[in-house]
Amino acid sequence: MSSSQITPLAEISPVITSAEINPAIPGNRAIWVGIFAEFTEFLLMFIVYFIARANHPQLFHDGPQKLSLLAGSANTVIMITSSFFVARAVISMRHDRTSASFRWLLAAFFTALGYPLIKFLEIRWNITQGLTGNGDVFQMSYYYLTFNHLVHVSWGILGLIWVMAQTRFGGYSANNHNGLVAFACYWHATDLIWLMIFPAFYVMP
Amino acid sequence: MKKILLKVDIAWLMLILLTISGGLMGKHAEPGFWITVVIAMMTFLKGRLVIDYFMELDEASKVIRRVVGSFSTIIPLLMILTYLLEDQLVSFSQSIIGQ
Repeated sequence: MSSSQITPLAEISPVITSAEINPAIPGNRAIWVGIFAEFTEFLLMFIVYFIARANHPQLFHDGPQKLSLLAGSANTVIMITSSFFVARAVISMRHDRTSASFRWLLAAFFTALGYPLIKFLEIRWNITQGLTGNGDVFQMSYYYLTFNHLVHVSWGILGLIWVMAQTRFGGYSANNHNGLVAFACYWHATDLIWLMIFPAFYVMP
Repeated sequence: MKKILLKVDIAWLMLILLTISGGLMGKHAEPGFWITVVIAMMTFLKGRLVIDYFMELDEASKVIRRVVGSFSTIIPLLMILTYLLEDQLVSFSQSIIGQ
């Protein structure tokens, strides 16, 4: 087959390159499939939480008093602040200020590291207080939801390392930073889920 | 970018204030309708601040905006409904699991 007979792939199936920004889908389609799956997963767990709450109101009334409100509040401040730093990184990148964007991401990264650290200290404290995964239905649902959230945060921290490397080594520009926006959407969604978990377990009497 | 404070900065400040005030309020509160409504409203407001100012979904497709908006509305709504319809939810859940 001679080269003149070969039809360029782009003519057969035009594809959207990563450089094109599609405002209808911030980031990319794949991340939104992931975010929708994340919302579905947590919505199902919340339904279990509310059914358990209705069936055992006293346990859910006493529950928050056994947890450390300080640890829960600290992780809320960490999630909000890290999410805010990522939002600022996207704004800087949009204005072609790559170095500033990297610094915001660095701040987001070090802030985010506080989350697993506080979770570790909190769980250690919980165990000394007798709050374990084998405890009552409040304790089981608390561990189930918060551990799942910790897993999502851990994935997010790995994603954050990737977008930091991309930003540092010139992978993004003002016209092409879909990867950064995709990560930002995931991180904000994970923040949003924590904002629902926090009042459910640490605040609501 | 030359503004001293961006909208996103103010959103962050509001989120922190809502978190601290919500935590302090819930610490010594007894279960009740109004405390449940206030906590649910604060949770909804925090969700909206994240969606509107951090996620910036103004130009996103309707599906994306609706799914994200629904999640942050359904959970606070369930907080209130669970309080109001506790007995019905108990009967419903127990009829499903056959107790």
